[in-house]
Amino acid sequence: MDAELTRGYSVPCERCSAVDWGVSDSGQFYCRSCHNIIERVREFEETEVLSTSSRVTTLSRSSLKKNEKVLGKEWMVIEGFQFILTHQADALLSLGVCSQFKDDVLWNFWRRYLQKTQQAFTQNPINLGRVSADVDSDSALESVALTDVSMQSGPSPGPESELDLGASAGHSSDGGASSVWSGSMDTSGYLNPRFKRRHHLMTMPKTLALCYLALLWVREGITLADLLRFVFERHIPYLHIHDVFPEEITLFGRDAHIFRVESIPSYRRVQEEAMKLARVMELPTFPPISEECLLHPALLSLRYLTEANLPDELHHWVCKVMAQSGLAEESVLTFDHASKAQRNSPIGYDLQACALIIVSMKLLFRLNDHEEWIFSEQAEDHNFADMESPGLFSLTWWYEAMLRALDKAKKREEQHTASQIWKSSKALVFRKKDRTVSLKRRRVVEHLQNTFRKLSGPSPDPPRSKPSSFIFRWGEGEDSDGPSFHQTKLDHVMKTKCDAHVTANEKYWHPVLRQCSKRVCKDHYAEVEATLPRMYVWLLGLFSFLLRVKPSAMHEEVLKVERRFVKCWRRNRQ
Amino acid sequence: MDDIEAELNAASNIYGNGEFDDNTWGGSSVKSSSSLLPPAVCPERPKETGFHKTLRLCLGSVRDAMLHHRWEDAAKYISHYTHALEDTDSANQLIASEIVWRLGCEILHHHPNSKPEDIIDLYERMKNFGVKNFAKISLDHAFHLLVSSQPEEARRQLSIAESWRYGRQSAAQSQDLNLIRAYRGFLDYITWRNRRSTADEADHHDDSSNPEMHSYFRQASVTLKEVIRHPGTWDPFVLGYIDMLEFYNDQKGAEKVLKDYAYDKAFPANPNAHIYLYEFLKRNDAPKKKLMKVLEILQVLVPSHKLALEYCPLLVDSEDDGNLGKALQVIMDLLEYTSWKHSVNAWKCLWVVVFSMLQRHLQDAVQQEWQKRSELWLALHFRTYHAKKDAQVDRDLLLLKTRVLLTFAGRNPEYRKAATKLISGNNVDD
Repeated sequence: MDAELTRGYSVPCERCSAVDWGVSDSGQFYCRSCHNIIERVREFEETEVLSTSSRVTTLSRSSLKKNEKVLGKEWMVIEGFQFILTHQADALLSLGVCSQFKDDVLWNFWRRYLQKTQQAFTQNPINLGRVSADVDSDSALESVALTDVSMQSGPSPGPESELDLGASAGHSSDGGASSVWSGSMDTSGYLNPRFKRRHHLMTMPKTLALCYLALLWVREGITLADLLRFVFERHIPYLHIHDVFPEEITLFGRDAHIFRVESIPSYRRVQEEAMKLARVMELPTFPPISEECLLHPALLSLRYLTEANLPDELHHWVCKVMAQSGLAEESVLTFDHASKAQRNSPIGYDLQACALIIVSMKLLFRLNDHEEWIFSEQAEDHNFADMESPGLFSLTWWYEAMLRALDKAKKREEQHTASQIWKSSKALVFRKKDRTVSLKRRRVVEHLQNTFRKLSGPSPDPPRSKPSSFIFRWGEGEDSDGPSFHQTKLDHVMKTKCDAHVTANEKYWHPVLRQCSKRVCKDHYAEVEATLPRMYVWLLGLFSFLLRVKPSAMHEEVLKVERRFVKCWRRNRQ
Repeated sequence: MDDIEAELNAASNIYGNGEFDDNTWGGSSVKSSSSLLPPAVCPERPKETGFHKTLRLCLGSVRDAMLHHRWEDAAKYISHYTHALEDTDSANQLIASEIVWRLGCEILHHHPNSKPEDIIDLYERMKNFGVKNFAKISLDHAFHLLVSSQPEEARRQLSIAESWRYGRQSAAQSQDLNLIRAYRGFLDYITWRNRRSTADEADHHDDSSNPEMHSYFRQASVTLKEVIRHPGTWDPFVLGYIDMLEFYNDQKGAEKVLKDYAYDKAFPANPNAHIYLYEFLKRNDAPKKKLMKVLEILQVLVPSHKLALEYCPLLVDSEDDGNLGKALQVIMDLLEYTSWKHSVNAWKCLWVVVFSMLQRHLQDAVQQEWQKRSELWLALHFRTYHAKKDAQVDRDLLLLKTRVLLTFAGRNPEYRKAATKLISGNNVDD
């Protein structure tokens, strides 16, 4: 149809030198490969053509109009998710993850997922949201085309090319068979709860879960807590997906429900999703977590010890506890979706490392709101006597320094949460009749924001901070959070008793370690919390702030470690 | 909060089970604490999206900044809060729009760099944001314009708002629309008054101003008449209306309006209504009986009102024993209020009443009345301490009170002793 209108014109385009002209709605000529608009307008052509074949002209114009209305391209929801994953992977690469993560691991995981859930790369792809039987063949054709293309191109240079091929693979621009108002073609199927359950369709939290699985496979030092923190600090695209999508794809209608996020998923949720995904994808055994891996508790706990400004000597004790409770073995640590134990309580490496630190502190200082302060007094007496050396570790001083820094950090985080922007700059319209209202609302909000922003004075907020693994900075210097305790010694925790070196603290307390049945009881932390020593609760609070989890989760993890520790210790004694 | 209650409940359990009703005490304090906080500032709810958590923290920050008068911070946080206007839940949206309107106006009002156009712009935007708040915001806008001395603009806004119709929504906001109409009428009255005063100054020079004045009068009177018919407290509107009616010599109409306002059972009890009626009747030389009737009701509503001091002479002049007895009751009721304790006029009035009663040989009635109140009065007015105070306030008061006491209670050593000592002391000084 366009050829008719532009048949006289065969000058190659300036930008891309292709001879592929089309006519836009307003009559201007544009190059179809690079969208370059030229001066030539169709008007005088029309008067020529009108006399001979006016009917043909009007027909083609109306079908053109229809094309424009469908916003240029047809797309499936799964392609949208592919976009998102690509951008997330790029962000992770810029954070320092090795490049194999994106090219090999994530891409293969994605392919495997699509294959196992039969959305692509298979002979019988599932139909989502197709209504009539005729169109079924279209979808089969289209998906097969997608698979053919993808398999041939291998790790694609970019998903844009797939999109083009998918769209032009013989699919009519009929606006899709769905009568649902949305940009993508299979939203109604995607939102159907039955389909969701049966086919394990993709959701926004699942993208994070997939990234996490890939990170686990590559055994990078970015833990799940870090991942969620980067999402919160907007270093990884998750919140404003609208901005990530290309121009031709706009989110509206029911698509918006799929891609909109109103909260960052919790740690546990992502863990569960990851486990489910691993099961669906039938992943083989993961590469083992050996002592050299960054995710091994030996190395990870060192990181958290530095973060929490605890003395380096404590690491020795942490390793001892780890060895004692059997958590140093690869078989226990490696992610395995088939093992029932891991399915019931998935491993959180960061939680585990912090729990080990807490248990070792309990071992050394008892943390019953009494003994630890006595130890501190001993340390302080010693320190006052000898001011030059780094001295002994005094819990009181550490606590005061930590408290100050923690309060500041909590305030900063609260401010950040309060200024977090959840709504993107383009209004998401869910229903057709709300379109004008939503756009108007968006305009009003922007106008009001401008008014108030002018009055909010010079912006005292620092620009978006660079991503870093550490929240606190200890040591000398102006913007440090406090004095560093890393060099202090732990001599006072040991004593000699009958020619044997034992810990000065002779007792160890723990709450009830018996596990309740998971189905009935959720978690008992809220009931137990009032009976626990305040120092312990505060310590839980500190580590749960660092990892951005709830204190109850931290407490559960400590209980898990203690179960193993006490059991093994009892066995050793016998 | 919960810990404190648990502890206190535990403590009360230790000290005896029968003493406190634990459940209700603990329960009611929980209830009061939860009802004190406005809904948007509540503590964290169990299932809250990140978006709502952000909004909650943001609102807390706005509130903090405003209470500490950090207007720039407040402006920054409220610009973040405006995202709440895009919440998909319509109930939340309504709350958010009200918060943005009210807090935004406060911030703009106090911020040193804000311009008046900003405030008006905010009003316009929030008015048209949703339909449910239109009337309230229009009224607030008009008040703001009045405060910033733009009565013409205020009147224009009110008449625009008055002619707004939106089906069910305008019916739901009918009360606010009523108020809008009332204020519009009142502003018409103010304009009319201004015109009248200029016309008076110009000594009725140009007749051309009069038709305009009359048109304002017509508009105002129609509106105000309509508004005053609804039950409510419309004091300034009534006064304005009466003013206009009196100017055009419609005494009967004015009287009817005031009577309706004062006596209609549907209206809330309003002493001011009776005061206005009384003053109107006094202005227009009504017979004493009428005046007395009005004041009787007023005295029942507000025994300590100063018009009681006009009521008593009326009763005394009526030369009726029953009325005299009533007068005594009225004035003694008045003097039982502490605001009248040191008032010379009130005591003088009492003396006049007592004197006229004694002249008419009504000692028994006087003594009866005194017996009823003697304990209270001796403690309230006639202690040595009071004597000293009265001497400080006014010497006449002291003398008056002594005279009164003499009549009532004969020889009461305490007050009179102190009084005579003070008087003689003063005499010596003089």
